Amino acid sequence: MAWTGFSLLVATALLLGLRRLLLQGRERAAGPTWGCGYGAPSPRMQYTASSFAQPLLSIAPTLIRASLRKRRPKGFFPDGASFQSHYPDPADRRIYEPAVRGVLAVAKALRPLQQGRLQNYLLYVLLALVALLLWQVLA
Amino acid sequence: MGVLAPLVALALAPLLMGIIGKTKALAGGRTGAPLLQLYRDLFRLLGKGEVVSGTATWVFRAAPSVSLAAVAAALLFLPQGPLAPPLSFSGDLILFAYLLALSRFALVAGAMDTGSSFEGMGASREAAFSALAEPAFFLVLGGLAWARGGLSLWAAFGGEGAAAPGSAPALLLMAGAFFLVLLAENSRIPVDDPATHLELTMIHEVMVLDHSGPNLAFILYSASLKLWLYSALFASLLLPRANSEGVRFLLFLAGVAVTGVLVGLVESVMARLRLSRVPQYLGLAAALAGFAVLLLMAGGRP
Repeated sequence: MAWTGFSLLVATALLLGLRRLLLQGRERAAGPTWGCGYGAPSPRMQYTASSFAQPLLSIAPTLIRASLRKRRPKGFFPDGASFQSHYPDPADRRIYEPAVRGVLAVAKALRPLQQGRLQNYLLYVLLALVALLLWQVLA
Repeated sequence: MGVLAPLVALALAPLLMGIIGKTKALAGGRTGAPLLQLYRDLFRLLGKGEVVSGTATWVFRAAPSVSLAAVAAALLFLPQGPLAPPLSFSGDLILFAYLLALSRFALVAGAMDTGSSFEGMGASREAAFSALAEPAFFLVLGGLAWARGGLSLWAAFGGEGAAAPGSAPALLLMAGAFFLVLLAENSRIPVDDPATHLELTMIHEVMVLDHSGPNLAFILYSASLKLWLYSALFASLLLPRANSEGVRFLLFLAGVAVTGVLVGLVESVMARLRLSRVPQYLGLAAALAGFAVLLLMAGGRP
């Protein structure tokens, strides 16, 4: 099994080396990314994480409730339009967040036990001792 | 013995692409490019310089090498008919599938790196369709592995117990499902049109649009290797028993060639599906594979 990882690394290294060897002394030009001839591309035109996931997530729209905010262009000479999409994680929203909220609520309820006064902590030790002794006696 | 299997694939994969191209040309009444054209193309591209986009980083420049290395590593597990693969262990099916996924991931990462909206579009479509093709793929491979009692590609597809009587309906269903998956994963019609010139209709080609020179040669070669991988599995599914290993190997090669002809015929006859229908197409593949597994389980192991 280790052979696979080893051969993968070796093959990658060999291919990168072959590429470097082949390109030595050859023309290596730089050019703009192909944009179908459009003259003014900007970084805002590339695919975001939300748009990358959209084809897969659009298959089950009731499971993944996308929130889409659209402001459509209106009229013959529209002055602006905007589109925002947000795909919340359903497992996060319906399982993990309620569970974490419940745990945090219990923790918050227990918070008054911890105020930093030594006499209260000594009282807790005394109460625990009394409880254990009672348990010993009654069991 | 084990070294021979990958060498067969490495040598003959571009010829399979040539067969597909020739089939498409003959079906369209043309003579078409010669069978060995892809070898010439690869050689020509390896001799060229490179043009790299100004917005691309090392991810883009390294992606084709990683992709080809991953496909070549997957080749180490593939039986070529009766020829045993050099590496085989229980569970290597899953490693095989994810080496191919690593190859695709490298291409997707390189495509997103250019910052082009076309390549992002192709990358997102390719990622979505391959995610949807996974159930069918694993049902076929897993079902076959369960039926033949070994969770490795060599046990499932090669070896002596390859074709057993009485399991023909299940094998035919699996072959049908696997052919659908082959067309989807290798970006063939009806999922993607490899001959289109319109970027908005491309899926795989637009991901590799900005590559040139040796990188493009690596990508074309890894695409042909991947098609050989899937065709070899498809041919091994339907390979009959034969008396000698030599005859079996020749039948295997003929089977791969016939797979190429089938792909070429499908490409000549059909048009590409609407993109919103591709999930249904992949669902059909998964349903066929599921029925095949049910048949195998109901009929006992063949």
